[in-house]
Amino acid sequence: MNARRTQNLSEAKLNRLLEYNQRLRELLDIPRTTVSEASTRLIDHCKNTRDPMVPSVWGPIDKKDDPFAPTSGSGCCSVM
Amino acid sequence: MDDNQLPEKIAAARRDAEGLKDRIKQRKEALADATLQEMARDVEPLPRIVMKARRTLKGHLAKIYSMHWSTDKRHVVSASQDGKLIVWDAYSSNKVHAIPLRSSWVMTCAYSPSGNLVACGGLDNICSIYSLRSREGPARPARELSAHTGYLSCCRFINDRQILTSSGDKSCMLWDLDAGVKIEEFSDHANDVMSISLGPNPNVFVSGACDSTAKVWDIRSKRCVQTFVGHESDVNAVQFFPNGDAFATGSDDASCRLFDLRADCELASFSHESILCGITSIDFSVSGRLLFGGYDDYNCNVWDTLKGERVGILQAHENRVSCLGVAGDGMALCTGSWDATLRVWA
Repeated sequence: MNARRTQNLSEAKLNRLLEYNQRLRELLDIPRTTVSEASTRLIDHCKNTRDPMVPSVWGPIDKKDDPFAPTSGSGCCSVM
Repeated sequence: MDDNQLPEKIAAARRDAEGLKDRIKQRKEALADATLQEMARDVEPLPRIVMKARRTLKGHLAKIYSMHWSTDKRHVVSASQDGKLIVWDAYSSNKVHAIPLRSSWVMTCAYSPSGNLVACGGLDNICSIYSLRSREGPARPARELSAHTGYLSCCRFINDRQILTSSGDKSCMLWDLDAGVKIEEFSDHANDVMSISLGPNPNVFVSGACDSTAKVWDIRSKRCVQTFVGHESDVNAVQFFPNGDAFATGSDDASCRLFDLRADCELASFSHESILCGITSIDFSVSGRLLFGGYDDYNCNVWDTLKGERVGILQAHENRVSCLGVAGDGMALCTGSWDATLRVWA
């Protein structure tokens, strides 16, 4: 009985290892690019996308376009 | 199977595994022809980023655990352990909805892209969906999604019909909202999953977990397609870079990291010897140039994604920053804190 149980456990262990190796084989073959190419894509995206939070690159936001601009103090209440 | 051969077969399988892992390592090393910092050396460094708290959203009575912008760039939903979800108009600071929750132990909330629905969940293990625009309004949940056996750590709507959740039960789940049932389960993490992010590719999401890894999943094939290691402790937050090619993570190991899907490796780490506390939440500015991190030391640090340098600190909260998010048009950052307030920075 004990021998049979030990064999079942070992078979399960072997199956798990074989499945794991199959996943490793799949991981080995995924397409990968170089770090330089990946970096270039990120840098290009930053350069080509207008960003209101980076005024040093894109210029300041016009007050009229900024919904959070401090108001000119015309009153504290608004009609709902 | 002949049991005499099993020990040999197991040993052989182990040797194969080591061989495969070595070959994967070699392939990745061969592609590491530069670093992001080197490639960005000609990019103009940023001056100190100065942002002011333009709005303070007051109304919650206890720690805020989560917030999420609406795609209309104006409304925000927040969840607090005072047992309420509040929908705010960030422009005016007014509260549009105050939804009482069945369970006050809420840990996450989300706005659907359409603006019709909000979701939340927490220690009740349930993802509750509320309709903001139906005739009955959000007084009662429209759906209660129950199948997780652990706390709900994060939820994100794909659209009004599907939502993705992550849980302390180590799995993520995809749900059908019309039927109110689980469609798919994504299990591969070895510990609690803390955060998920959906990118521009609707078929791919990334998760971060307490097993110190981040995993990329393919929804159609239902499998984990990539695993990223590097962090030395729980990954609390993940967020895709705006173009979906990379994602950032925030961890209890006091660092944020940037991982690239196509290069299959870590591109940058954002840390400083003076920063010793964990990161709870992260988000990118609309171009990806800035990375905002919410920290346990009550501050939000602003990092230059390309240069790896800290370019600003936002200080206003009187307790841990538990959540943050950049509005869809990139105009403002909202931070939420255990001090029961949210602040909108611009």
